Amino acid sequence: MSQQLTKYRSDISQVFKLGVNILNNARALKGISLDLKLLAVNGIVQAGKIGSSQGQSLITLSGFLSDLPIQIAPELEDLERITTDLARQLTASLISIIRFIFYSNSLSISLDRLLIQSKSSFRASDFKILNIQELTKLSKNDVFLKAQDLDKENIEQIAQVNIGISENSRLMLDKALDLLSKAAAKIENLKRNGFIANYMGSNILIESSYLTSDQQSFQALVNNIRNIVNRLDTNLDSMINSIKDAENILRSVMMANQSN
Amino acid sequence: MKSEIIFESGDHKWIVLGRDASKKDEVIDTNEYIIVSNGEAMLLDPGGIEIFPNVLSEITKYVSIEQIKVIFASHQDPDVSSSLAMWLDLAKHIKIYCPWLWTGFISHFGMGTDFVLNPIPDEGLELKIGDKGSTVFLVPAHFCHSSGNFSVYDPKANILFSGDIGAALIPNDAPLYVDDFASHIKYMEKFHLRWMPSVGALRQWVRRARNINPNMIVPQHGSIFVGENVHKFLDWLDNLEVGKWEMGAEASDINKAVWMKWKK
Repeated sequence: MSQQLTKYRSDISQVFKLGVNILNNARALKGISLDLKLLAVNGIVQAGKIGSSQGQSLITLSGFLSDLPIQIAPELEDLERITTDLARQLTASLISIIRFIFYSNSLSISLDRLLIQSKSSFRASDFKILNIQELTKLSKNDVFLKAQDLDKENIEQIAQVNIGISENSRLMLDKALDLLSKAAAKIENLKRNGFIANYMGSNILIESSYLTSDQQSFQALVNNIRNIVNRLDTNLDSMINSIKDAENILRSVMMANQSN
Repeated sequence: MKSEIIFESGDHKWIVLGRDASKKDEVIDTNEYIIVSNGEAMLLDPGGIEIFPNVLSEITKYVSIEQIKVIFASHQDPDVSSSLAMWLDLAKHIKIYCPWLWTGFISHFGMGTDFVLNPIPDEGLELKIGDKGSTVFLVPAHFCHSSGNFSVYDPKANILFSGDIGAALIPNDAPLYVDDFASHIKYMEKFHLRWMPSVGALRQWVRRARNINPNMIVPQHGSIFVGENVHKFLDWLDNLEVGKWEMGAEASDINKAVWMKWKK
């Protein structure tokens, strides 16, 4: 397989892996959300034991915190649905592109055979066989003027099939790009919720600092909240990085198909 | 990949493709055959997806893609049928025939294409190559080796395509035609003892082949049998005691300690 085809194939496989990574991270968020809820409930229970006005404010703060996972649940559901669609879309694109690569490889072998036969100094690698514009005019290229009609007809046919697959793949990859940006928007919303959770944690810490007893329990609670928010941020950052990488690769893959 | 015309008479010819030196070592070598009859072509056991680019490129030396009207898959193995969707996607007019038993299974190789398979009934089929080509016969070869399996007989060329029957795991530089049958046996014997599950089915197929009395038997792997070697090959098959797994029984017994470990 030629260098350009090998790179093309490896790029697409990379996007597929990133898609799966994004999906797995999205699924893991549900676990993080549940951990946050359990902590908040724990906070309410502890605040309830205090029984003073300070206890009441801590109950209110912990209540806000425990509502947070409920509030972000629809966002998580949406994110999981988007990333599931994304993984499905990338799988369909990958299969389509694998077909494109096999046909391109066959085209490359046939072109090399013809070029060697005609003692041309050109080789298949000199043609941008991944590119629609190049494929459109391939069989009419001067290099193949002396080729037999059979060869020209076959090159034309494979090129036409690849143009069709390429256009179809472009539609699928466009949809994948759209899903990536939707996922990125959802992740930004979730990050804001992480920030709010941290803010609530800080308020709980301030309120609990007035307590004569049980202060340490609330310190541990807030530490746990921070750990969870850190896990959430790490997860979301990893998703954002994967999305950026996937977007970059997809754009370069689409560029290889479309540019002049 | 090499290719060669093995039969030509007027507008009727057979071409064999194989001995692909560029394929990965772990990919078993296969022979693909094309019958071109009155300008229309039939591809027999088109090979796996891994070698598809080479097969397509090599075939285009002989026929245009538009000329390929029929593809035949003798059974469900991936080295036979995993490229079928690629062929159909390339030329939607191609009719693919495969044993009815395997249509649902081979459809798993669809790769997202509109994948239509024409089922071959157990008793076989008389099949015309396109509109203008000659007729070939899809001859039952069930349990040789697959439970749904066919050979192809072309009366015009008097060639019998035997699929995995007669398959040999030969070195890449082995001759295209079997020259010394006795020395060729070593490349076939283990293959047949392991892959052919039924001595009864094999004997029936040999009877069918003797009635057909072809001049050439062309397998999916290995070298081609011509003339006298056809009879030597059929005689050899008639005496081959296949389907006897007891010689491997000791090796396949599960050690008690291993079994206990699994049960945990």
